[in-house]
Amino acid sequence: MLETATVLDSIAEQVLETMFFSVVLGPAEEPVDVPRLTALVSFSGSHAGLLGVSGDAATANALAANFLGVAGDEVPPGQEPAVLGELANVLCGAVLGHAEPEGRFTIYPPQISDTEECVAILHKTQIQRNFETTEGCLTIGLTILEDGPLA
Amino acid sequence: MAFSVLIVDDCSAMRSVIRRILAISGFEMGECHFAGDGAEALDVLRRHRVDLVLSDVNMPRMDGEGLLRRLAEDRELRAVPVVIVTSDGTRDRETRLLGMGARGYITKPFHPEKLRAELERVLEASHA
Repeated sequence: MLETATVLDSIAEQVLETMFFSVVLGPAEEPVDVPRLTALVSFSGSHAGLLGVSGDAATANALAANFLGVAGDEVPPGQEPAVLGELANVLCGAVLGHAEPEGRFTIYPPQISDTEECVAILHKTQIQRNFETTEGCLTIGLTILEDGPLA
Repeated sequence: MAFSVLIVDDCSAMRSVIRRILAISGFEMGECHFAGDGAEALDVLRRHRVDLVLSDVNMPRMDGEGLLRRLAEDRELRAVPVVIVTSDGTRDRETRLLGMGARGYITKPFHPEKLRAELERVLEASHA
């Protein structure tokens, strides 16, 4: 599991830098009592599981602005959830491709919500990492189960 | 020579960022068209001259595999090269899509230089 956590760190850094024009500054303390937007991506196949990403509203806005190449106040309505969903989707694909390159997976569309229930689901994942980025703090959680139905 | 490109992805933000990365990479891009799924892509391809298609795989209505199948059946469009741009990095998926006619396969995340090199390779092979 330690190895998977290291892989997740490395992939998160790479994904944020190359496609989201963000930089990971280092580990962070998870923010508490702050409303957060969470994107959850589940997958099945060679392994089943879930990857989730969570950030507060300001972080989600800054990430969307970076991704779209616009100022924070120019982010079109609804794009923060879409961009967070894409981040979760790209992270999930990259982690699975690295962890199990010979595997077969179905990655399902991201579920995005600002409810506490989604944060609770993220907290139940096997591995959780908090990253301080140039856009704010992001929490990434991952669960990979040993067996899953073949995709 | 500038190449006209069609970017196919159900996420409008991803379409925008791929166009942005193409511009950053220095790829000689002419007109850039967008489509939200395979069906829309076919419609764009029938109305515009497109040199290269960059397509996602998982999309509603008609996915990337459906688009490749339809293009293979179409005499006028089958020569248009398609490069798959996806987050699925498994070899099984890559082999399957290349077997269905995709000329290139690039997994997210990618550096601008890597995207440009792959597109230039595909265009060169298509015009050989």
